[in-house]
Amino acid sequence: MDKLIILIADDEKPARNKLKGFISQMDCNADIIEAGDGIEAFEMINNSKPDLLFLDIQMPGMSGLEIIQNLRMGQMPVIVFVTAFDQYAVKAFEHNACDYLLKPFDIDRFNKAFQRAVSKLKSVSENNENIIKLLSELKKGKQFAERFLVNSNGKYFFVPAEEIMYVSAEEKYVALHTEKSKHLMRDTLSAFEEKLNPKKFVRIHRSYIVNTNFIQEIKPWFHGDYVILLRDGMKLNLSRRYKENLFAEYKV
Amino acid sequence: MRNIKCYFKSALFYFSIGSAIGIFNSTVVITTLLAERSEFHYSSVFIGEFTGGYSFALLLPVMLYIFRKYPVSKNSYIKPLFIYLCAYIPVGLFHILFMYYSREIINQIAGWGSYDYGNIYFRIPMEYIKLSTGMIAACLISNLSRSNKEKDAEKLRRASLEEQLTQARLDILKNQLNPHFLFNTLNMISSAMYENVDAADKMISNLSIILRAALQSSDDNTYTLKDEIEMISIYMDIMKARFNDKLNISYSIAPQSMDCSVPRYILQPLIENSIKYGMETPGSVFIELTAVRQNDVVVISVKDNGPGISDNSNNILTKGVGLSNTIERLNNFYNRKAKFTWRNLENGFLVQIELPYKKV
Repeated sequence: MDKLIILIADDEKPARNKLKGFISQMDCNADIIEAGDGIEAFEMINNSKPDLLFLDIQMPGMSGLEIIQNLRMGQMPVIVFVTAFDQYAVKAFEHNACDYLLKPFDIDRFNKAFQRAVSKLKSVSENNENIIKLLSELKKGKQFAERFLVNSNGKYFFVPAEEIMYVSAEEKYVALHTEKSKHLMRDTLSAFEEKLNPKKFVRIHRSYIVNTNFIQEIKPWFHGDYVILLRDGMKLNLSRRYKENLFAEYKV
Repeated sequence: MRNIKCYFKSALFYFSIGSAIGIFNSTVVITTLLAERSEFHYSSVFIGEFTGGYSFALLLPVMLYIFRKYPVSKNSYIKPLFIYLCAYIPVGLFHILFMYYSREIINQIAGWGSYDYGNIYFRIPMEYIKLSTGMIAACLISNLSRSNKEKDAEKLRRASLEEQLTQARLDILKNQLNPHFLFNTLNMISSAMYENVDAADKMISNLSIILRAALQSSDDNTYTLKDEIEMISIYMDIMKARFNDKLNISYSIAPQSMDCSVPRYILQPLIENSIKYGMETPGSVFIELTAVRQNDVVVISVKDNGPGISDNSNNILTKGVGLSNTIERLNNFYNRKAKFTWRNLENGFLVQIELPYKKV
């Protein structure tokens, strides 16, 4: 096997040290990198493309769950979640065959998780499937992404979900349109839709998701299509295919 | 409208008292006269006793006002009793005049001629003696009901103090037994064991001290600022072991303030908040805990370099653990003589507690 890149993301150094110590006892050739908070971890995933990620859930800056809500499917490493206590998340991990470690854990429990994770490295599609399931499970538990980390000129900052007016698909990217600006993220519109609160964000078109808070008016158009007028004057098409998404939610 | 209703209610109350006295006294007089086989007019007895009753009822609010304003207690009874005696003379005079003129008017209306008050050298002492029994009764009832009310209020204050301490203990317990704190600390200890057994052992003993303190119920009256600072330093040792150089705390505690009696867990929630909000921002957290004593006042400040409070200042009451409970407990413990203030600094946040110095 090639040399593995393993990222340990945890805000407590002793916790990282313990994982490092355990990894070094495993029979594998690995480069270990460390992140001390959520945003650093997110950047490292983007820049260093680790194969395996030990991800603490509770971290300042960005929680472990927020990190996966902000990553795009193609760049998902195999993740072993690490948490001291989070009943809900643990249930979600169990349901979706994600590996997790409960602190404090011993070497035997770690070994099991590590072997399972290594064997998963060979099957990217299985990994992605599990993550998609996990995302929809989080969504069911009303854990939607509240904000998105975007990169502008090398700087990272958050766009709160409630400030997004609409999201459009642009080739390999999704564009988040706020009242002031537009931010591009590498993701598919369908995967992005999974991260949003369906009570507020509705898919209205193959290429659009709209934040219903910004809708000013809905006008009938031709052939059963509609036009949605946003508060700032922007017009979006509501296609027949997606019409029920919006109308069913508001019982029109 | 509510006022009128209240007014009407109390008028009805005094009227009933007057009527009751009238009925009671008329019965006593009539049965006495019947027993003595004397001749008498029922109407004159009723007029006499009822005017007496209503006159007393009319004066009762004045008497009650005096009794309430100058209550008798173990420590002070000479001055109030003297005041009662002084009031007794004009009250009695008004009582006699009211009775005389009301009877006179009723007699005139009924056409019975002028009212005969009899020999005033006997009549006036008689009325004063009769009034004194009524006044003593009113005084006893008023003072008894007041001391009961005071006892109830004291009981209530104590109960709420106890309840607040229980609440604080529960908040601390929730935080200390907070699974995140507990399991992350255990994980830190587990990691330390591979590197430094002595340090791991120390942390186990620190964690035990904190858990024991949270579980133990002990007397609040002997708890000092020194005890509170010790607890905080143990807690900080654990947090520093977990977060290394990210957490810093400095203490500057004036020795003369160390033995000041403070409510248990009065600073702990403030430190926890400083850490909680400081960790959310990049860079290290610096906390400065200072206590100074200026004569009879101890000023404790917790200063941090965190984000402070962004919008309105009421946030501190809803934000974080039990800060509103901390304020309430301060108010109760020091009988509203403690001050709790906070403000955003250019680079951080400052909470200040001013409390009366009380040696344990």
